[in-house]
Amino acid sequence: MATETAVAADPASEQDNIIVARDVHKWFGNFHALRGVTTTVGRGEVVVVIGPSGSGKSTFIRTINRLEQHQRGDIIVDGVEMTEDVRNIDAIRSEVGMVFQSFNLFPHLTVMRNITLAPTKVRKTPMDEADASAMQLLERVGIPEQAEKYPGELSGGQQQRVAIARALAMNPKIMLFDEPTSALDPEMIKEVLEVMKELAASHQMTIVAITHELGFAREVADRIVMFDEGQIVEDLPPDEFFNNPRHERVRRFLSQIL
Amino acid sequence: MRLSLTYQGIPIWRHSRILSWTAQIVSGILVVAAVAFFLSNVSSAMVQRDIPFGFSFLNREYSTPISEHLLPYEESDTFAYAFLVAATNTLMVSVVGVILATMLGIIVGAVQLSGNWVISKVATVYVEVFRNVPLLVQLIFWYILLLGLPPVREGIILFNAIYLNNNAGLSFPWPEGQQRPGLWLLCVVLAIALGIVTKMLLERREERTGRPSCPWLGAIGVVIAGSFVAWLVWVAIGDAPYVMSVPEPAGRFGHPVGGYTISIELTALLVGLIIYTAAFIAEIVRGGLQSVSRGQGEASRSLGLGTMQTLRFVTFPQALRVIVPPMISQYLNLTKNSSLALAIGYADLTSVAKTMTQTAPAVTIFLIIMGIYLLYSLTYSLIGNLYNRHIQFTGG
Repeated sequence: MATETAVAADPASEQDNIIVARDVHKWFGNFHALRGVTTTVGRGEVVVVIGPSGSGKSTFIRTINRLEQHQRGDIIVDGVEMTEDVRNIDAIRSEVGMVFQSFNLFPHLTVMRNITLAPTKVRKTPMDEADASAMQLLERVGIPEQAEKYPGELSGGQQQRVAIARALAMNPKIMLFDEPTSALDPEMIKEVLEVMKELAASHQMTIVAITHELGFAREVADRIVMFDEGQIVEDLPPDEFFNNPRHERVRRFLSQIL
Repeated sequence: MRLSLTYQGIPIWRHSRILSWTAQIVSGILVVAAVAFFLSNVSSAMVQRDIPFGFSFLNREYSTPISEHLLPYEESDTFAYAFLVAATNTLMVSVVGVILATMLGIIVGAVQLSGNWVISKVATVYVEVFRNVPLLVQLIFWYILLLGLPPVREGIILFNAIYLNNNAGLSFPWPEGQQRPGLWLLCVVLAIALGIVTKMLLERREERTGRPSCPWLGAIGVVIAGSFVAWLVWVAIGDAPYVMSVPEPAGRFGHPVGGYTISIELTALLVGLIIYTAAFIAEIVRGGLQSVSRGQGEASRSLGLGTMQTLRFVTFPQALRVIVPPMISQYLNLTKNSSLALAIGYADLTSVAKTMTQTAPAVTIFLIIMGIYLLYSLTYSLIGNLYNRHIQFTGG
């Protein structure tokens, strides 16, 4: 079993790192879900996270906006340490957008209201301004004609694109994707990946995405990080990751999902 | 030649629409026949055995006391008016009970889900105890408990203003009209209307400009300021519209004078109904909030909305659709259960009706009060269904 931890944070470059995790541990009851995760993500970097289910990858990105609390170690997001301080948590959450596997759109609100809820309630953006930028976002994700529909009237791919637009409406510095295409029918995966590729190519924001779409990872990722049993076992640029992984575990995993 | 009964080219005994219509007509005839048979049987039996029936007694004097009444009542009043007095008592119990049980139930239901272990367990124990003991037993228990209290001056006294004891019952401060109170109330209603307009205007401003305009604060401010100005005008002219009357024990038995006093029977009935019904409402609220998937809260929190904003804009609107229908049925239950007042001697509709049967035809009396209960229940259902349709519609 590989136990060594990967790339340690370089203190000199800490200002450029928008996410810093040092020796992060997390337990669910007796289950040790994260066993000392240490990594950094630079501003504007696109990091793809892969790993078998139960490896802690989803738990890890959920600690970044504190949907899960870590119990040991430090997580510093955009210079703010994630602690019990409620004000820090709210500040960070509005800077970190998240897209979920199961979309989690608000079923009682129209597509438009889904997108404008947070800007108007959290940022106090005027309604007409919020409406205008929501419309721009819907055009960006390619479904402006669905603005007045309810989530239940949309296909899975369309719902996930609305969810991306909803997260983008807060102008986040970081976007977290938690297996955004796993719940989609094959023909809809592409439309969501296109939107994600466009985001990554714009280099406006930092992206951490859990996905098993290796084509996507190869094309847009700056780094691929692999989790196994609560630890990072590999952290390499895509070329090296696919062609020359250092760990046997990675080779086995790749052969299983390819 | 073969007989061919066909409709649209299909033999009629195989045509689905004709079959369903035939079944409807046949069952309709059977129901009407059964009801007609039952009614004629009852009426002939009543004639044979000389059971009185009819509505002529309604104009007679009831000449029996009603121990407690919201409307003014004297023994010389008619049966018809006595029905009105008793129905008003029941309506009061129902409305007060529904309002307080809803408030208590929502608090207990929300608290059950809170992270505070101690409070949530206390709430769970409360719900389990009061949901699982018969209401009649609880009512008699509260009644016995209140009967066991000492008389006024030795009874429970809070802030020298609230008295709870076995002879007077529950006395509490109550505003007493002094100078044209009705006109002042009208001013308050106007202030409330103005407050609603203010709230809408401020909400619109907030949406347009994005500047926080505190619509609720503005609306409440307008209502309070309006009522207060009117009050000052009243004082300037002569006297305040209302004066708070505080009960005060008087005389040898210390029966409180001033304030408002309700009997221990009514106190026990209200306490019992509210605590019992709130336990069910708490479960409905808890279930409703839990029916909203965890991901909804996570999505909302990840967008930066706070706990209260998440509850208000995301969780509660979705829970409401699940909560409202069973909540209405709890309101109906509370109203119908108020008839158990008979057991502890509060003059509600049922116990007055039971007393009436000693001097008037019982069948008629009970048909009348069944009609009144039905009217109350249908009114609650109507209001609830309209509200439910409203939230379903805005919810899409």
